[in-house]
Amino acid sequence: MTSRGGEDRSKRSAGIVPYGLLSPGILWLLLFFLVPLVTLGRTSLSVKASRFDPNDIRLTWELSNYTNAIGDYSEQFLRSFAYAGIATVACILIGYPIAYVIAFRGGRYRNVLLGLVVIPFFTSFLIRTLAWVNVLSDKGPVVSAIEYLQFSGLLESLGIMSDGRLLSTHTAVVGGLTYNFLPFMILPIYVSLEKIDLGLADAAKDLYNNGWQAFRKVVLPLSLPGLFAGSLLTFIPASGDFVNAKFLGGPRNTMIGSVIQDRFLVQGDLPTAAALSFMLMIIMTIGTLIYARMLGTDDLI
Amino acid sequence: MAEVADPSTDVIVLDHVAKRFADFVAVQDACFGIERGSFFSMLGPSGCGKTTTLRMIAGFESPTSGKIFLDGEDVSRTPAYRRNVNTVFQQYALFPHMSVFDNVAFGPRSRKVPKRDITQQVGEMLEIVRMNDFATRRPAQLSGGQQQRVALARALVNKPSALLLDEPLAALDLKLRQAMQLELKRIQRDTGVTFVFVTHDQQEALTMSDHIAVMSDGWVEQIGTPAEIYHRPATPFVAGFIGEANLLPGTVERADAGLAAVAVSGGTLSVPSDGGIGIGSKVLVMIRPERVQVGRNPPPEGFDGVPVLVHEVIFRGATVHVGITGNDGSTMVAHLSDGHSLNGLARGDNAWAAWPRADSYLVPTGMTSENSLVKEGPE
Repeated sequence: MTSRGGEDRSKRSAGIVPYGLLSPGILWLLLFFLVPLVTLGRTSLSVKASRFDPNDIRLTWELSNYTNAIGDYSEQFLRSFAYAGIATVACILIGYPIAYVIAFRGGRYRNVLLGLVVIPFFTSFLIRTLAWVNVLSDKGPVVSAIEYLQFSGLLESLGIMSDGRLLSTHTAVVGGLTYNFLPFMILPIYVSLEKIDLGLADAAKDLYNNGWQAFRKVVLPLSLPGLFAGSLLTFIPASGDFVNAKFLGGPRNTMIGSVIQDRFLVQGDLPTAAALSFMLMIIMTIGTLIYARMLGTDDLI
Repeated sequence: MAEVADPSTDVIVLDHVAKRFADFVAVQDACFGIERGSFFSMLGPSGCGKTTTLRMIAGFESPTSGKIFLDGEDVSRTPAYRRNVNTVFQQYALFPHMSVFDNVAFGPRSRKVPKRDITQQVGEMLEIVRMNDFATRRPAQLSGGQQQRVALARALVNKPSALLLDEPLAALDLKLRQAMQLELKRIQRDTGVTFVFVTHDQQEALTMSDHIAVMSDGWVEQIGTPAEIYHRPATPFVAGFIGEANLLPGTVERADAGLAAVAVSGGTLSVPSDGGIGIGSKVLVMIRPERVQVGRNPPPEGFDGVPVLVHEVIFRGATVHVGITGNDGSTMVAHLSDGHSLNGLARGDNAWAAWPRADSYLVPTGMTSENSLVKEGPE
């Protein structure tokens, strides 16, 4: 009897302990995720009740907030996804080879190289973006070099420059996004590459594949989880970003993040801003699920 | 030392192959052929160059000098993916993101074999390694022995000219390893494929091989059948590495037809010799422990022996191991088939170690100093 009682007690406490350990996290999520989410949802379905106090809103299940937002800002939405998409692809093209070299050829310099990837990001996001304003400015080193080499005509016909400028073009915005989010691509890819046994590449070569085929059939598929994580960490914040568009772009390069920021903080139009935020979130969630299914990452070990 | 390679029967021929890395020489002047359809082992301690030799045959390393022939064709500079040899890797290197079936089908698919044939070939091969019930599993869901079988099937399905195995049994526990030794031998017989097997385990090599190349410090010390290597070691290293051996250092005093007189500490021994050994040269007389008898009386006719002191008697079940000390302090071991043959001798008794003359063997020492060579092989 006593032993059974002891067993019961240990079972009961074993059942409670995990919840106890989880409770700070659950509480945190409730307070800082679920509550704001509900508030945001409410706001997005409300109307402004006062012209002077932006916080004075009334819930009227105003679905027109969404239809109006789509009607007015579909251009900024599409532009955001296009910029973020291009920046993500650029990050993959630049970041994957870097991660590959660090993981497989880094040797004893591996940690130094990883440090070099991360160190610039000890400076604030804002400062680094503002630095690019100087680098790309009309009298700055890049534009001067292009003019000296007389490449401006070529670059303009490619749509990379416009009116002899780099600043205030989509090139600058996408470039800034690529630069700012590159480490978030490199690090997850590095982590998944580093776990791969290079003996697998030898095995693929042993089975009639040249180096490129071995990479494509074995190393690349095994690094997809890192590629997936890196893409999310790049694409999601890049689509919502407004700093790069604000400082590096012009009036024709506004992204949806700038619109939301403007509606919330400048115009005090909380319902529209909330509707835009909510839509961005829903599109991201659906997009992520489709992307995961496409890459088949749910299928990987 | 190097055997003459015959291109008509040898599937692989190494012609003065050497491999130098930045700071050391991994393989020195390897020169031998591997007979088609045989089970060939490269045996040696770690760092002896056996794996490097295998990787050169596979195409993962290219020789610094010399040539490698596969099916009579010089493949020394041919990349791995264009050579018709396949490898079973030490850690198997199965593709973790693919099922067992897809792993085995990887080679045929890469060679653009028609789909129908692939299904049939993979099915047959999984049958041979007895893994057909596991075709849809992932490698992570298999035990070590099962992964081993899949790795074998993945290589053999390509019908290679030779299958290269890099210590494939090292990761398995003892029981499974012994079962897989017999299994490998069966698969080799069933498929008729040449197996080139790398191992540091002399028992494994003796059990499975048709021919063994014993390697040490980058040199091929001897190539021969397991019996030749065991009974007629060409160098002191081979004598010590393969099985246990009593090695008595001595000097050749007389070399008559078929018999050499060798002075060792404790007497003069008559050792069978095929001639060609100079008077005055330093040699080792090898006697396997299972040939040594221990008794109170000097050796009878046809036997040779030395006076010894019994210093240890260890009961091992089927055998009794007797540690004996020669009068120069060197130790010898005798494996007796049962306790009675000790004739009542105990620790501390003076006795005679004796063996049939025909069972001793003369090992030339070449350049090596004689004192450092009394050693026992690894268990």
